[in-house]
Amino acid sequence: MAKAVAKLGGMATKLGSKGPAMVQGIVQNSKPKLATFWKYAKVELKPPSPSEIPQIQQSLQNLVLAARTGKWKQLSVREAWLNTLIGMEIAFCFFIGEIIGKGSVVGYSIPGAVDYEAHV
Amino acid sequence: MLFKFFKVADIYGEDLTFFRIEVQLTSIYGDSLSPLRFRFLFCTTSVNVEMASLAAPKAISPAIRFGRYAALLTGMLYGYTRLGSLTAKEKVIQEHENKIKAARAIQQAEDRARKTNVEMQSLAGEMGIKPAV
Repeated sequence: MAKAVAKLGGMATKLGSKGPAMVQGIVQNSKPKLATFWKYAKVELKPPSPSEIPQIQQSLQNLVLAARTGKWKQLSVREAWLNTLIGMEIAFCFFIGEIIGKGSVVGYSIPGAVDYEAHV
Repeated sequence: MLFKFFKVADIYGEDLTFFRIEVQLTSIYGDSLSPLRFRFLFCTTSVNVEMASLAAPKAISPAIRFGRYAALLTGMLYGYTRLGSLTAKEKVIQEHENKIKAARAIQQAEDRARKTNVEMQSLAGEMGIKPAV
């Protein structure tokens, strides 16, 4: 027991002395990785700009037209699968937004709605 | 715990690194009675990977990007408003239940007092003591 406490104390002091160096190392290591992430995010995750609105309208019209005329039956399975994945991704964005809006990951946390006391 | 690793000279342009790990576990009380010893030997190879193999960023269609952000904002709005409506409903339920709880607490206190009084009277009778009431 005493040895375990001593070991824990040793670990804590080592962490305290090497902590800043560790944090510095992590920061230096993550800089290039953040740079690559930003390189891709700038192009792929960019929000749509107002100049692209007519393009968006055209795409939506094409989608509605394809659904109405039955062109969707001529899609290959691969294209249909990719479209399904895209639809799922957009749906997941909605759920992520809901998590952010309600402020909790699982369920809505209403104070007083859960009763943990024992009832006799 | 013992960690030992040593590097084997370059073979075909790759370098192999051997790790030998010896682990000795003693009991948590610090004595070394019947320690368990394990030895592992494994090796890793490393090959030079150039960062240029990553593909160029792909231009996503604006409709998809619009859909993503629209869904995100809609979700945030939906979550926030639903939280507000559920909290309001819960307030009404809480008021109703508090009233019921208060009435029940009074009733329970009366019942308990009556029962203890009956028990005390019977005990007094058994012991032959005159009851205080």
